[in-house]
Amino acid sequence: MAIEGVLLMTILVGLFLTVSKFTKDQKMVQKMVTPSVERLKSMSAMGTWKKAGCTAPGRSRQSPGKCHPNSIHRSLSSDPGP
Amino acid sequence: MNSLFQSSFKKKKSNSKGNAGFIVADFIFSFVLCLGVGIFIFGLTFSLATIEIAQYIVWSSSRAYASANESEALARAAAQNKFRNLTAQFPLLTGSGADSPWFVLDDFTAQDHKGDPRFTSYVPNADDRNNLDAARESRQPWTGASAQLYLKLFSSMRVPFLGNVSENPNSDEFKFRLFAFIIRNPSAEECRAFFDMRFTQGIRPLDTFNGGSANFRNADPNKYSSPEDNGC
Repeated sequence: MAIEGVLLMTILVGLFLTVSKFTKDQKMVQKMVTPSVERLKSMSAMGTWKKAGCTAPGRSRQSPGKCHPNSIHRSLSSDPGP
Repeated sequence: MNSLFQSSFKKKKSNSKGNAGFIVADFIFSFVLCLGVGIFIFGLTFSLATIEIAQYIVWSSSRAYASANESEALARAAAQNKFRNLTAQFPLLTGSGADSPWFVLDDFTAQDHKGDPRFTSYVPNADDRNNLDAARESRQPWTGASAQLYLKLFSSMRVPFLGNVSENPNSDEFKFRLFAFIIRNPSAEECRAFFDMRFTQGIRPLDTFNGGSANFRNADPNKYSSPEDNGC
């Protein structure tokens, strides 16, 4: 029983180390975080999740600067249009 | 029979003790993983809360800049002062007065941002930058305050077994620019200049209208007293 236990633990630990090494090599955490941070950065700066700007129903696309909550152009959330 | 049962029981108990190592290994493994995810979630929620606070600080400083003052320079100094006072209240979140290992809020400016490349990158269209509407009239300028929030906490974060959160901890990836725009009230200096313009642009050109007197054109500006009628 002890031998099987050690063998099983070895396999599991080895599998885990392989998966974690693969994750690190592929930079999976960074690839997951970077786009989210970009969206967060855009939201913090300009009040829109999209770096390219914001839209509202019936309105053309606005540049990010005009999406800012304090911008006079920002009639997007308070007045979403017809 | 009884002794046989006891012997069998003892044997089973002994086997159970032998499996305890698995539980310890499982526990350590899951504990480390949960700890890693917990660190990440802690960093995320703390950063989001800090962004909210930083946005309020910038917004409040922008209000100080928007208030009427003797001159635009004094309004800017008032905004700087407000920013300095508010950031000093949160040294851990802003790094003001102390070297915070987690967040830094600095690089504050209060101005019209249409000439600032840190803002104009968000507004690629020149008309939008100058706030020209369809009739080519200038509307609200991009007046207000801005500051930079650096999430040091995230840039140096490392999840156990999975590596760093940031590819390059020294990059600008976690540096956020925050803006707060409020139309600034005219200063007393600007109001006086506006009143004086009535003489140069309103009274003096009168002689060009309908056979007016050249006396208007030759009027002595030193003898003109600007009426402050609160119309600024």
